[in-house]
Amino acid sequence: MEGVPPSREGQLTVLIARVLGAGVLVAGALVALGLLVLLALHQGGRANYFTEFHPRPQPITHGLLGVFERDLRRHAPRDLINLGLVLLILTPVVRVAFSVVIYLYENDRLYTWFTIFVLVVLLYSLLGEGVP
Amino acid sequence: MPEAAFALIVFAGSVAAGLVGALTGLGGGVVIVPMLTFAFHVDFRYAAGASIISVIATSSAAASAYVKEGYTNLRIGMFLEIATTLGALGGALLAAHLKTEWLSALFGLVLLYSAASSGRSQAHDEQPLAQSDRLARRLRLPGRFPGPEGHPVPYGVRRVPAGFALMALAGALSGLLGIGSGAFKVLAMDRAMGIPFKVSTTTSNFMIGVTAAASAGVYFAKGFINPLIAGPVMLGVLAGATVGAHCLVRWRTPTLRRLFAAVLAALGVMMLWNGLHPNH
Repeated sequence: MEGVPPSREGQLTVLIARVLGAGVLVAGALVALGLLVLLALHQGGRANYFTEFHPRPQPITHGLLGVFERDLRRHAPRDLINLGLVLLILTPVVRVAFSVVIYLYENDRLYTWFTIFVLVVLLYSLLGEGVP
Repeated sequence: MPEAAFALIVFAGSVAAGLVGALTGLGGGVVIVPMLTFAFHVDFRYAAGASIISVIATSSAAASAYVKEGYTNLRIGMFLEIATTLGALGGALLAAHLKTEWLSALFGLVLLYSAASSGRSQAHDEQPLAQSDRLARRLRLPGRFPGPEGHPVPYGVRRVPAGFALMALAGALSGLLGIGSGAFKVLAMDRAMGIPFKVSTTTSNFMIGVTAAASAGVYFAKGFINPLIAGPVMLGVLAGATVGAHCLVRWRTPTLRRLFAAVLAALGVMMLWNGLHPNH
């Protein structure tokens, strides 16, 4: 049932959402790869410490760049999974960033400001809390 | 338990949670958190961190489908995302300072409400609002949705400030508990703002990923998101939700829905009890 043809902003949003759907697949593939490496390495670490919270605060950039910084063999599973998770968190942020561009392009000042505001809140959440 | 074995079991459980989430229409989050805390004795904060990841995954994966159907009102979504992201940011910052017992009790209440609201039918929105508030018109929120015979049906929007406030609350719950809080978003749009039910649910789904991302940034920085839990949960819920959405549409019978709603209500009572009696 396609009763109302999507507006121009709707068509563009569908296009962007499709691209982001692909982003979720890439993120999922990285996480799956990380888990497979974990299984393959047979690391002996025990998992029962999850019953208590041991905060290991980390800036989100570590999730993105950790892969390139540390001893690969020891940290590969966690770093691959973290990279996938950070990519996943970024997909909605990218969607909002594209919305800003769409409204800007359509000269819709009110909604350009609304989407810019949402983008700023998201970026603050991602970066502002980065330093523990 | 070795880490790899733990990850595999969490993955299997998350497939089931994703299925139940898709079948009840409530999403994986409200199932994942009780599963991790009760079955695996995972700390509430790790459970919330894994859950918020699964929420982003399922909503981002399905986002294009919601918009294409023609029910999603993008402007309502974008405007209300101001409220939900601010609420989520505040909730996530607060979650780091609250006792887990309180969060558990609050989660129990939210589960009970969600279970009650999942039984609701869509039958009540025969008549969309004819008139819109002045504020709703200024924000250009009123829209049209595909009618029964394919004709666009116009609808009005009212009580924008009340809806905005409820949306901030929905965002705060998402940030506090690591859930999508779709049931509360629908409450704000459908009940407070008079938006047709189908438009409310699809627009809510459209907003959930952005709301969850506002929580997830803080969660990641605070160490709530552990790769060994969040990773398998993300993959499991995605798999379960995909199967649930594609193959099991005919399973979505009223009987099954009510059964799952009862299960959720039971989990809600357990979480509430755990929160109030932390030493039992």
